[in-house]
Amino acid sequence: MKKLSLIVITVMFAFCHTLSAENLDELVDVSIYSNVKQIQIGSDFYVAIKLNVADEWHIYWKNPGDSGLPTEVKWTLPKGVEKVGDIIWQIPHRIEWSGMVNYGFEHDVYLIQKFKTIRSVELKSIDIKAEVSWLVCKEKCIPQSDKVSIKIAVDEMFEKSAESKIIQGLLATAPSTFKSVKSNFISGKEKLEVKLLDMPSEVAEVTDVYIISDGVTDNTVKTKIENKKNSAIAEFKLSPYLDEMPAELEMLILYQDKNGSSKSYETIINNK
Amino acid sequence: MKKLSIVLALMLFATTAMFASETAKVGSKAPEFTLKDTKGVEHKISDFAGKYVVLEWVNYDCPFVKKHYESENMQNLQREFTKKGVIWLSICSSAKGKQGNFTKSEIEKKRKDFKSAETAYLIDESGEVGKLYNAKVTPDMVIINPSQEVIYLGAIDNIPSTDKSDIDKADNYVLQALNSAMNGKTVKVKSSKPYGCGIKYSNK
Repeated sequence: MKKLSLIVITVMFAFCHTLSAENLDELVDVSIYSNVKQIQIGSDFYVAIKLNVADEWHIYWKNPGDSGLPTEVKWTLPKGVEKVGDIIWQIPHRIEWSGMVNYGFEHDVYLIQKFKTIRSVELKSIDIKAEVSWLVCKEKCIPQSDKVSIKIAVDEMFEKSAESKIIQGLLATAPSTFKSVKSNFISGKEKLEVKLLDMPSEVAEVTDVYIISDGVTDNTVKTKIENKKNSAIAEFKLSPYLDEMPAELEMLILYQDKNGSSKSYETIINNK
Repeated sequence: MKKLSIVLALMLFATTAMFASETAKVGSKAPEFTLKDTKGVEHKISDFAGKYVVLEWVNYDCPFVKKHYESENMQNLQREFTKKGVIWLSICSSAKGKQGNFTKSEIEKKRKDFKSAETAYLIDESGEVGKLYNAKVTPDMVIINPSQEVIYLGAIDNIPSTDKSDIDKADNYVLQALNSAMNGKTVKVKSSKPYGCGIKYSNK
């Protein structure tokens, strides 16, 4: 009996050991998709990079927060294909540990880029290459990168891809963009006050505000949000490392619409 | 009389506690601390009054620290400025059992392999000094002038990456601040958000 328990313990130990010994090269799995399988020249399409991050590990948003590095994509495009705007990011998670606050993603995250095709350039197919680089952290951090590519057929007929629905769903929940004209901010010695004086008409309540511009605010101090009729004020503590206040700030605003659904928009606000 | 001494003692305690919680800020006095180096020798910040002091938060296993050590960027800075009389203190705030916390012999071996040229490598396992200086990542740099005033706080340079090829393209804030200050000029960039790995502080 004693012998058996010893064997059981040994086997269990070996099993647990295998589970805990993570293969560091397999922490992040990268894949590439498009919403189209085949398109006509002259039309637009989307490409999504999916990063699947191992349990307990995380990668970073475009503003990584107190530590880390933003995840990056370098595209290699054929002649006649151009980017439209920047990467469309999903809403990041606030990751807190050891007195620090980071903005990033755990498990699955998609980075989506819109592309257009130029009518005057003839293409038989569209070959897109992406070099993706990221810093993956748990307690330790590892810089990694990977290359992925996708081929989209060019023909008279438009054909959706199998992943088209997923990409559409992600685009529907991604932050919209809004041009702020009246909104502004003022900064004191330690505080930053953002006045959202014009917002999309469907906003019922602002629930959170993230400053996308890196290094401006102290991420460890909770943002105070005061909702007023058709406007909101967000108060931040400035980062002790801020040397000079930028003239404009890029922000992500999370809100609830009049039906109670959670939505978001990105905007640029000037210091007036 | 007894009562008065108690009140005075309490007041004194309150003021020291207040000062102790005052963290480093550009333009303010450098918070006082004493830490031991790998040989057990104590180094007290106020003992270096009259000299420029650089504090460098280090974790040799962090990829951002490796970028600056494997390229010898950090050692070159250490060499250049210690030759000019600057006191360069590398501080490790990694808690016991966490990444970057090495035994004294391991530290000595790594320093030898890297040919590091700091004045001393200080051990801050409790993380108290790291927190006093608001250090969140490695590398994190602090420059103190001869009047013991903090004149620079933050990143080593302006390109946040782990890529060694970025070093030549970057503006090195530590080099710029030391050169300006030591030549009687104003320091242009006084602070910049440091980039790197989070410091592996103790969970306590």
